[in-house]
Amino acid sequence: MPHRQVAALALCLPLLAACQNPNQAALALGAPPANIAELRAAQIQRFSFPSEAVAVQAAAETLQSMGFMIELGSYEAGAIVGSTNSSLGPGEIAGRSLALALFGGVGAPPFTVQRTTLATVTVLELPGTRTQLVRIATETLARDNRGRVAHTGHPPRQIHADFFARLQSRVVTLPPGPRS
Amino acid sequence: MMRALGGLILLLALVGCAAPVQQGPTVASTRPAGELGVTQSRIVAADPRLVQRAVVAMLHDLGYRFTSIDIYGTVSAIKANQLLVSIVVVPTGGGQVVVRANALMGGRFAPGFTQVDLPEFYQRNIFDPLGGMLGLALQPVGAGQPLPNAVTPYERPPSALPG
Repeated sequence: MPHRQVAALALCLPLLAACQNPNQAALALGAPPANIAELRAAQIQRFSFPSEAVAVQAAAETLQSMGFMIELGSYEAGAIVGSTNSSLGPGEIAGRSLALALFGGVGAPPFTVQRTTLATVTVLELPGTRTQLVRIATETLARDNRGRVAHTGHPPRQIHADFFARLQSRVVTLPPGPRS
Repeated sequence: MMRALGGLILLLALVGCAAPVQQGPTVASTRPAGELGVTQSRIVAADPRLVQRAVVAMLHDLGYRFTSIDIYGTVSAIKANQLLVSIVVVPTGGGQVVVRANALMGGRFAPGFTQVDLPEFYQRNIFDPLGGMLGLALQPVGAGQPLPNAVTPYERPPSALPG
């Protein structure tokens, strides 16, 4: 068997193994991302808010200004989760379903009826400083007309850039002095 | 022929793994409770709040999204809409805390979630990254060490996504 085919088969075997039982699937899915350093560089920026709590509040307000609804927020943990969604109207769904039934046949591909973008933000103040590391990660859940939900990680980085630019505009500079 | 076969195997593998999370009863591990507790727990000498912050940072670093964070030291999160984990941090006195993780896997394995009981999963995917985040080594719990109950994570769909 040629080397390339052996390599392709070897690549498929772990995927198949991961699908065979939940432990192996969890071991594969739960592993640190291979591009973790790249993700950190894209998802983390430094800010200088007066305190970590102010940074968390500013991050929540920034998400809201981008159309996200706050799903979860914790000052204690420095974490926020927000979501925003877009969906087809009932008439549009009915129209597409009818069109598929008439022209698409039984094997017609499903279509997305609702798409939710989720943003996870964490804030961590460096000890003894007024510098906070703010991290944002985003993902998308798309529900199709058959009720199935597909997950997509790493959506466009435009969301990250927009978030950081808006957050930077909220930084309030206080006169230097001892930390409260 | 071989190319087509390889493509088919890859397609089947990807389709199998792309199954959406379904609702149904959770399938619990069949391992003895004490043994599972030791697999899921580690002890570390650190401030509980510092450990909880490290848990939050570690889960975010690994690509999880938080589903709940409570004031008692429990953080729950989900990765890729398939893998759920809850991590509880409990002080034990003497400046030490016990960290216990409990993970559930969704997909085509069962109608609901299945409890993960593989020691390698907890060591490589939870405790090693957490130790790295803390800059401390997490130690195995001793026999007879009182352990916090495992917290069962539940998928909480975002309010914008009904169903």
